[in-house]
Amino acid sequence: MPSVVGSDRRSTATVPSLVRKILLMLRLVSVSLALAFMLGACGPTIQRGTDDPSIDEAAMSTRLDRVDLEKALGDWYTEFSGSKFLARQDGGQSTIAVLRIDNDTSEHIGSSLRNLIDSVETRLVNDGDFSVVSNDAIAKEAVAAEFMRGDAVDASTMAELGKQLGVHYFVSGRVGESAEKTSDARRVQYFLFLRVVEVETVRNVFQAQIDITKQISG
Amino acid sequence: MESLKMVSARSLVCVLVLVAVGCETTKDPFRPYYSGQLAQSETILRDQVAKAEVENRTLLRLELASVLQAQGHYSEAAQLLMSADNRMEVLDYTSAPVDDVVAFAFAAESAWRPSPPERTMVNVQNMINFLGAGDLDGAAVEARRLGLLLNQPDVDEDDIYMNDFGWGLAGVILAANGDQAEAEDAFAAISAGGMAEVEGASAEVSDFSELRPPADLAGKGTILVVAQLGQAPVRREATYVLAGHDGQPHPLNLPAMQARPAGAKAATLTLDGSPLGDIPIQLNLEEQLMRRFDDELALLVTAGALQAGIRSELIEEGVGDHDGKWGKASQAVGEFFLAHVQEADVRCWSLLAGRYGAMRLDVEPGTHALSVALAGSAAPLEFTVNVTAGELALVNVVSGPSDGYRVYPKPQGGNYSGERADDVLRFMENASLVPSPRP
Repeated sequence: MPSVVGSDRRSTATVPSLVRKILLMLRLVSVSLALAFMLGACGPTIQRGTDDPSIDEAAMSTRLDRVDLEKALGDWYTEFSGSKFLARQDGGQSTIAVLRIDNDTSEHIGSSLRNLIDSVETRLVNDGDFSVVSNDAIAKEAVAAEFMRGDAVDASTMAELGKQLGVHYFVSGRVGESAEKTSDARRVQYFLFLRVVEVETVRNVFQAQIDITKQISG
Repeated sequence: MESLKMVSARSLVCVLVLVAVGCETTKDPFRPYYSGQLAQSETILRDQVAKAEVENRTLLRLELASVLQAQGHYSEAAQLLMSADNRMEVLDYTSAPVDDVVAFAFAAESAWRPSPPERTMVNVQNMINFLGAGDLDGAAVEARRLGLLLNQPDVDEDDIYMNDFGWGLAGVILAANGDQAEAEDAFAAISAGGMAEVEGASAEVSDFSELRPPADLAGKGTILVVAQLGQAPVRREATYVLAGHDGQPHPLNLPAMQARPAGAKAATLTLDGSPLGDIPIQLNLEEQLMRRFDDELALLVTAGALQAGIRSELIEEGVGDHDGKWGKASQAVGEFFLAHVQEADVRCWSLLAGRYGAMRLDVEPGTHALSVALAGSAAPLEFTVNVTAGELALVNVVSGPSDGYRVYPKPQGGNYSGERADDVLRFMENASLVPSPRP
């Protein structure tokens, strides 16, 4: 009958050699723990981004961070500023409102998307190509809810809402993903779509796609 | 060898110190929880989280989230589970056979790892939390995270613990969020790999057709009634015996599953005075946790054997001449103390329920009265829900706080010197811990 426990040094050669391996492993573990303790004893380090700009660069998770949002905003703005749609505008006469970006991913990125929306609004305000309408949240939600109906959006309802809010165009978006997880990695490929919709016709007059990939692995 | 003697002497001193420290009583958050004193349970857990070693903090956060959810503090519970989910995800990435044995053997020093059924419940519980907080977007994110977890391609078939309750919740949430295609995927996953395929699954587990949204929901609102009934089994320390080559029994302290039969097994629902029958049970977590324990027992025994080997070596090297009178006495004292200081890793998510069920009610907008009668409980739980058209409202019934606290006798271990020992040795060979072929 095979035995399991290496508790008797007078037994076959298998068990003592196992025990020696274990003891060696224990020593290594002890040394590692001691080193970890010594390093840990130094306490946390707090840094300021203005002192060390590199701390903004490191990816900490598969969520969207500032680098990702700046890339998204930059890519969108490059396409938007070169678009035929913008070229047709007549210098601040048209009104535009920024709604929201729907999160269809497996990451809790709602606050990042709200930051992106605010950044888009900031660019539009500062460029002066549109008169940006900053409506109250309730009115925006009403429009956003109508947008949520997708193909079932009623053009006359949208036109009426636009008239009430005094808006010619809405900016909205959606971020989807292709996410995969294994025991040693998780990868999220984000697909961010930002579009401008003409309220009166419910027609997409501009749309941009931004791709971002994040991965965490062991 | 001198160094080993010193290690042994130091170990004995440590044993005495640990035994003395062990006499200090700690406050138990579970007794007040099951006695309905949730605020007291919360206070104790908050204190424990603040003082906990980092490797135990995640588990304590899960327990605290359960207490907060039972009190209706959904937003904070959701944040706690999000944080725990992130930490556990990183733990997945260090998994390997040898790592697993070492982690089991030296569990006190390693971060707590949830069993697969417990891991799955993090996202399931957080769907409930986000729904309770009125954050449908957040609930949808958790639904997708659950999907990713259950569809992980590199997980061994034995390690997949289907959670049809979770899939059902995910389907309801995603459909309410307007993600119809994803909702259909979730409902399809139920029929593709449901509880019926799980060995030992309960025959009472129902189908899920009633969770699908009806074809015409126009003008109606939806109430999702979730029932978390009874208490999941927990791990408690038991003494197992392994025989060495010398035929001598070696006691090992390992975890054993402690069933907790207290608490409601079923719940009956009444809506606006009309009886609707039992809330169907869609997940028997109790059975899943028991099955998981059986699956990992070989690993636990391996880890215990490893510890026994180290213990024996330390004593022999420390005592030296164990044939003499004093040597034998020292050896006996050493074995006694080291056997007692070797603790089983009994960490587990204790505040999970044993059974989970959900019922979908599509109702006219307005105020509705719900009454939930827990089996074995005299007074029904009453809820008043105000629903608007197109809204998904949650009624979360947690039986735990009204289950009552019970003390169970210490579970029995067992003798694993026979066939189980053979399995263990084979496992150790595969993990390159023992030279192969063995004699």
